[in-house]
Amino acid sequence: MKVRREEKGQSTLVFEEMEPFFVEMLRHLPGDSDPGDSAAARKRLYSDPIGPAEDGDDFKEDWQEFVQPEIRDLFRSAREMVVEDLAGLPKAAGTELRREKDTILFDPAAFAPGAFLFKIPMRHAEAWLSVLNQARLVLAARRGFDEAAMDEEWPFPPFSERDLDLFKVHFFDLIQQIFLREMGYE
Amino acid sequence: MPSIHQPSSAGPEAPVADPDVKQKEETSAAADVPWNVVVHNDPITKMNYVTMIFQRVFGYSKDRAERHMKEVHHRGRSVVWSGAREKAEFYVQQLHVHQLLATMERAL
Repeated sequence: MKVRREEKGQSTLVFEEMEPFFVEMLRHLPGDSDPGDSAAARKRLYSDPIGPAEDGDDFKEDWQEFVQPEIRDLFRSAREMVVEDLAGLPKAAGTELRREKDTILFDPAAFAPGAFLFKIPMRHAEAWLSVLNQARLVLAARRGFDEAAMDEEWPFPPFSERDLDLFKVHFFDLIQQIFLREMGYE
Repeated sequence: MPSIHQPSSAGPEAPVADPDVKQKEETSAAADVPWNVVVHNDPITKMNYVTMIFQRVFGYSKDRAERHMKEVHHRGRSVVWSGAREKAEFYVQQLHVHQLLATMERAL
Protein backbone atom coordinates (compact mmCIF):
# COMPACT_ATOMS: atom_id res chain seq x y z
CA MET A 1 0.00 0.00 0.00
CA LYS A 2 1.34 3.39 -0.96
CA VAL A 3 -0.04 6.69 0.24
CA ARG A 4 0.29 10.09 -1.35
CA ARG A 5 -1.38 13.46 -1.18
CA GLU A 6 -3.12 14.88 -4.25
CA GLU A 7 -3.90 18.58 -4.50
CA LYS A 8 -6.05 18.77 -7.62
CA GLY A 9 -9.02 20.98 -6.83
CA GLN A 10 -9.45 19.55 -3.36
CA SER A 11 -6.85 18.03 -1.11
CA THR A 12 -7.13 14.25 -1.24
CA LEU A 13 -5.38 11.35 0.42
CA VAL A 14 -4.71 8.65 -2.15
CA PHE A 15 -4.11 5.03 -1.22
CA GLU A 16 -2.55 3.11 -4.11
CA GLU A 17 -1.64 -0.51 -4.72
CA MET A 18 -3.75 -1.52 -1.77
CA GLU A 19 -3.57 -5.13 -0.73
CA PRO A 20 -6.98 -6.74 -1.19
CA PHE A 21 -6.96 -7.81 2.43
CA PHE A 22 -6.54 -4.22 3.61
CA VAL A 23 -9.38 -3.17 1.33
CA GLU A 24 -11.53 -5.77 3.01
CA MET A 25 -10.50 -4.57 6.47
CA LEU A 26 -11.49 -1.01 5.60
CA ARG A 27 -14.91 -2.31 4.63
CA HIS A 28 -15.30 -3.58 8.19
CA LEU A 29 -14.71 -0.13 9.66
CA PRO A 30 -18.31 1.17 9.89
CA GLY A 31 -19.59 -2.05 11.44
CA ASP A 32 -16.66 -2.29 13.83
CA SER A 33 -17.22 1.25 15.08
CA ASP A 34 -20.79 0.50 16.13
CA PRO A 35 -21.02 -0.66 19.76
CA GLY A 36 -24.35 -2.36 19.05
CA ASP A 37 -25.60 -4.18 22.11
CA SER A 38 -22.18 -4.60 23.71
CA ALA A 39 -22.45 -3.05 27.18
CA ALA A 40 -18.65 -2.86 27.47
CA ALA A 41 -18.31 -1.02 24.17
CA ARG A 42 -21.15 1.38 24.96
CA LYS A 43 -19.66 2.10 28.36
CA ARG A 44 -16.33 2.90 26.76
CA LEU A 45 -17.73 5.21 24.07
CA TYR A 46 -20.19 6.91 26.41
CA SER A 47 -18.21 7.10 29.63
CA ASP A 48 -19.16 8.79 32.89
CA PRO A 49 -18.50 12.54 33.00
CA ILE A 50 -17.85 12.76 36.71
CA GLY A 51 -15.45 11.10 39.12
CA PRO A 52 -16.68 8.43 41.54
CA ALA A 53 -15.89 10.65 44.54
CA GLU A 54 -18.43 13.23 43.42
CA ASP A 55 -22.09 13.04 44.30
CA GLY A 56 -23.28 13.36 40.74
CA ASP A 57 -26.22 11.08 40.09
CA ASP A 58 -28.45 13.93 38.86
CA PHE A 59 -25.62 15.28 36.76
CA LYS A 60 -25.02 11.86 35.20
CA GLU A 61 -28.71 11.53 34.39
CA ASP A 62 -28.74 14.97 32.73
CA TRP A 63 -25.58 14.05 30.85
CA GLN A 64 -27.15 10.85 29.57
CA GLU A 65 -30.32 12.68 28.58
CA PHE A 66 -28.89 15.80 26.96
CA VAL A 67 -25.19 15.40 26.16
CA GLN A 68 -24.77 11.79 25.11
CA PRO A 69 -27.41 11.96 22.36
CA GLU A 70 -25.43 14.84 20.81
CA ILE A 71 -22.24 12.81 21.01
CA ARG A 72 -24.05 9.81 19.51
CA ASP A 73 -25.26 12.02 16.63
CA LEU A 74 -21.71 13.24 15.99
CA PHE A 75 -20.43 9.67 15.91
CA ARG A 76 -23.22 8.65 13.56
CA SER A 77 -22.65 11.51 11.13
CA ALA A 78 -18.90 10.76 11.08
CA ARG A 79 -19.73 7.12 10.33
CA GLU A 80 -22.06 8.15 7.52
CA MET A 81 -19.31 10.22 5.94
CA VAL A 82 -16.91 7.28 6.08
CA VAL A 83 -19.54 4.96 4.59
CA GLU A 84 -19.98 7.46 1.76
CA ASP A 85 -16.22 7.42 1.08
CA LEU A 86 -16.05 3.63 1.29
CA ALA A 87 -18.73 3.39 -1.39
CA GLY A 88 -15.98 4.46 -3.80
CA LEU A 89 -13.84 1.49 -2.85
CA PRO A 90 -13.82 -1.19 -5.56
CA LYS A 91 -14.99 -4.63 -4.57
CA ALA A 92 -12.01 -6.81 -3.82
CA ALA A 93 -12.74 -10.24 -5.20
CA GLY A 94 -11.47 -13.20 -3.22
CA THR A 95 -11.03 -11.34 0.06
CA GLU A 96 -14.26 -12.38 1.69
CA LEU A 97 -13.82 -14.02 5.05
CA ARG A 98 -13.80 -17.82 4.85
CA ARG A 99 -14.26 -19.66 8.08
CA GLU A 100 -13.18 -23.18 8.82
CA LYS A 101 -14.24 -24.18 12.32
CA ASP A 102 -12.84 -21.38 14.50
CA THR A 103 -10.25 -20.23 12.01
CA ILE A 104 -10.51 -17.46 9.41
CA LEU A 105 -8.71 -18.25 6.18
CA PHE A 106 -7.52 -15.95 3.44
CA ASP A 107 -6.10 -16.41 0.01
CA PRO A 108 -2.37 -15.51 0.25
CA ALA A 109 -2.86 -13.36 -2.83
CA ALA A 110 -4.96 -11.07 -0.66
CA PHE A 111 -1.72 -9.87 0.93
CA ALA A 112 0.06 -9.03 -2.30
CA PRO A 113 0.03 -5.42 -3.50
CA GLY A 114 -3.12 -5.00 -5.52
CA ALA A 115 -4.45 -2.61 -8.09
CA PHE A 116 -6.82 -0.91 -5.69
CA LEU A 117 -6.95 2.84 -5.59
CA PHE A 118 -8.86 4.64 -2.87
CA LYS A 119 -9.25 8.39 -2.43
CA ILE A 120 -10.37 10.20 0.69
CA PRO A 121 -10.95 13.98 0.68
CA MET A 122 -8.88 15.58 3.44
CA ARG A 123 -11.96 17.54 4.50
CA HIS A 124 -13.28 14.16 5.70
CA ALA A 125 -10.16 13.54 7.79
CA GLU A 126 -11.88 14.47 11.08
CA ALA A 127 -14.64 11.95 10.42
CA TRP A 128 -12.10 9.25 9.56
CA LEU A 129 -10.04 9.88 12.68
CA SER A 130 -13.18 9.67 14.79
CA VAL A 131 -14.50 6.47 13.21
CA LEU A 132 -11.10 4.76 13.23
CA ASN A 133 -10.77 5.53 16.91
CA GLN A 134 -14.34 4.45 17.66
CA ALA A 135 -13.69 1.14 15.92
CA ARG A 136 -10.46 0.52 17.84
CA LEU A 137 -12.18 1.25 21.14
CA VAL A 138 -15.24 -0.85 20.34
CA LEU A 139 -13.19 -3.84 19.18
CA ALA A 140 -10.95 -3.61 22.24
CA ALA A 141 -13.87 -3.26 24.64
CA ARG A 142 -15.72 -6.21 23.09
CA ARG A 143 -12.61 -8.39 23.35
CA GLY A 144 -11.33 -7.01 26.64
CA PHE A 145 -7.98 -6.08 25.10
CA ASP A 146 -5.66 -4.59 27.69
CA GLU A 147 -2.13 -3.19 27.65
CA ALA A 148 -0.64 -6.68 27.36
CA ALA A 149 -2.81 -7.47 24.33
CA MET A 150 -1.79 -4.20 22.72
CA ASP A 151 1.87 -5.16 23.17
CA GLU A 152 1.38 -8.42 21.29
CA GLU A 153 2.83 -8.78 17.81
CA TRP A 154 0.51 -8.13 14.88
CA PRO A 155 -1.25 -11.44 14.30
CA PHE A 156 -1.15 -12.94 10.82
CA PRO A 157 -3.47 -15.41 9.17
CA PRO A 158 -4.82 -17.91 9.62
CA PHE A 159 -6.65 -15.94 12.24
CA SER A 160 -8.83 -16.77 15.16
CA GLU A 161 -11.71 -14.30 15.53
CA ARG A 162 -9.79 -12.67 18.37
CA ASP A 163 -6.65 -12.34 16.25
CA LEU A 164 -8.62 -10.76 13.44
CA ASP A 165 -9.99 -8.14 15.84
CA LEU A 166 -6.51 -7.47 17.25
CA PHE A 167 -5.19 -7.14 13.71
CA LYS A 168 -7.89 -4.58 12.94
CA VAL A 169 -7.11 -2.60 16.09
CA HIS A 170 -3.51 -2.30 14.82
CA PHE A 171 -4.47 -1.73 11.19
CA PHE A 172 -6.93 1.04 12.03
CA ASP A 173 -4.18 2.64 14.10
CA LEU A 174 -1.91 2.53 11.06
CA ILE A 175 -4.51 4.42 9.01
CA GLN A 176 -5.02 6.85 11.91
CA GLN A 177 -1.30 7.54 11.97
CA ILE A 178 -1.37 8.36 8.26
CA PHE A 179 -4.15 10.89 8.83
CA LEU A 180 -2.38 12.41 11.85
CA ARG A 181 0.80 12.80 9.81
CA GLU A 182 -1.07 14.42 6.93
CA MET A 183 -2.82 16.78 9.35
CA GLY A 184 0.54 17.83 10.80
CA TYR A 185 0.26 15.92 14.10
CA GLU A 186 3.10 13.42 14.02
CA MET B 1 -23.37 41.97 59.49
CA PRO B 2 -25.85 39.36 60.61
CA SER B 3 -24.95 35.82 60.28
CA ILE B 4 -27.10 33.97 57.85
CA HIS B 5 -26.78 30.98 60.12
CA GLN B 6 -28.41 32.71 63.10
CA PRO B 7 -31.29 30.58 64.33
CA SER B 8 -34.74 32.00 63.63
CA SER B 9 -35.76 31.44 67.26
CA ALA B 10 -33.73 34.50 68.27
CA GLY B 11 -35.61 37.46 69.76
CA PRO B 12 -37.89 39.68 67.67
CA GLU B 13 -35.19 42.34 67.29
CA ALA B 14 -32.63 39.87 66.11
CA PRO B 15 -31.96 39.69 62.43
CA VAL B 16 -33.77 36.82 60.84
CA ALA B 17 -31.99 34.63 58.41
CA ASP B 18 -33.50 34.85 54.96
CA PRO B 19 -33.52 31.30 53.54
CA ASP B 20 -33.30 32.66 49.99
CA VAL B 21 -30.19 34.66 50.84
CA LYS B 22 -28.66 31.65 52.55
CA GLN B 23 -29.34 29.44 49.57
CA LYS B 24 -27.94 32.04 47.15
CA GLU B 25 -24.75 32.44 49.17
CA GLU B 26 -24.25 28.68 49.36
CA THR B 27 -24.90 28.34 45.66
CA SER B 28 -22.46 31.14 44.97
CA ALA B 29 -19.82 29.51 47.18
CA ALA B 30 -20.32 26.18 45.42
CA ALA B 31 -20.08 27.88 42.06
CA ASP B 32 -16.79 29.45 43.10
CA VAL B 33 -15.17 26.10 43.79
CA PRO B 34 -12.94 25.33 40.84
CA TRP B 35 -13.40 22.05 39.03
CA ASN B 36 -10.68 19.90 37.56
CA VAL B 37 -10.97 18.22 34.21
CA VAL B 38 -9.18 14.89 34.52
CA VAL B 39 -8.14 12.61 31.68
CA HIS B 40 -7.64 8.94 32.54
CA ASN B 41 -5.34 6.38 30.97
CA ASP B 42 -6.65 4.02 28.35
CA PRO B 43 -4.27 1.49 26.78
CA ILE B 44 -5.98 1.56 23.39
CA THR B 45 -5.92 5.24 22.44
CA LYS B 46 -2.58 6.17 20.94
CA MET B 47 -0.37 8.75 22.63
CA ASN B 48 -0.02 11.07 19.65
CA TYR B 49 -3.80 11.05 19.18
CA VAL B 50 -4.21 12.14 22.82
CA THR B 51 -1.60 14.88 22.34
CA MET B 52 -3.43 16.12 19.26
CA ILE B 53 -6.73 16.27 21.13
CA PHE B 54 -5.19 18.30 23.97
CA GLN B 55 -3.76 20.74 21.43
CA ARG B 56 -7.07 21.14 19.65
CA VAL B 57 -9.49 21.20 22.59
CA PHE B 58 -7.44 23.40 24.93
CA GLY B 59 -5.21 25.17 22.43
CA TYR B 60 -2.13 23.89 24.27
CA SER B 61 1.33 23.97 22.75
CA LYS B 62 2.67 20.62 21.62
CA ASP B 63 5.07 20.57 24.60
CA ARG B 64 2.33 21.17 27.14
CA ALA B 65 -0.02 18.70 25.47
CA GLU B 66 2.72 16.06 25.50
CA ARG B 67 3.45 16.69 29.19
CA HIS B 68 -0.20 15.98 30.03
CA MET B 69 -0.26 12.98 27.72
CA LYS B 70 2.82 11.51 29.42
CA GLU B 71 1.31 12.13 32.84
CA VAL B 72 -1.82 10.26 31.78
CA HIS B 73 0.29 7.41 30.44
CA HIS B 74 2.65 7.09 33.41
CA ARG B 75 0.45 8.11 36.34
CA GLY B 76 -2.91 6.99 35.04
CA ARG B 77 -4.44 10.46 35.05
CA SER B 78 -3.71 14.11 34.50
CA VAL B 79 -5.56 17.25 35.52
CA VAL B 80 -5.64 18.96 32.16
CA TRP B 81 -7.64 22.04 33.09
CA SER B 82 -9.16 23.74 36.17
CA GLY B 83 -11.77 26.42 36.42
CA ALA B 84 -15.47 27.18 36.42
CA ARG B 85 -17.83 24.24 36.44
CA GLU B 86 -19.70 25.22 33.30
CA LYS B 87 -16.53 25.39 31.27
CA ALA B 88 -15.28 22.14 32.80
CA GLU B 89 -18.50 20.47 31.59
CA PHE B 90 -17.87 21.86 28.13
CA TYR B 91 -14.32 20.51 28.05
CA VAL B 92 -15.37 17.07 29.30
CA GLN B 93 -17.97 16.98 26.54
CA GLN B 94 -15.34 17.90 23.95
CA LEU B 95 -12.99 15.21 25.25
CA HIS B 96 -15.79 12.63 25.11
CA VAL B 97 -16.54 13.68 21.53
CA HIS B 98 -12.93 12.66 20.83
CA GLN B 99 -13.43 9.46 22.84
CA LEU B 100 -11.01 10.23 25.66
CA LEU B 101 -11.83 9.01 29.17
CA ALA B 102 -12.44 12.32 30.92
CA THR B 103 -14.20 13.26 34.13
CA MET B 104 -14.61 16.37 36.20
CA GLU B 105 -14.11 16.66 39.94
CA ARG B 106 -13.95 19.43 42.52
CA ALA B 107 -10.47 20.82 42.96
CA LEU B 108 -9.37 20.44 46.59
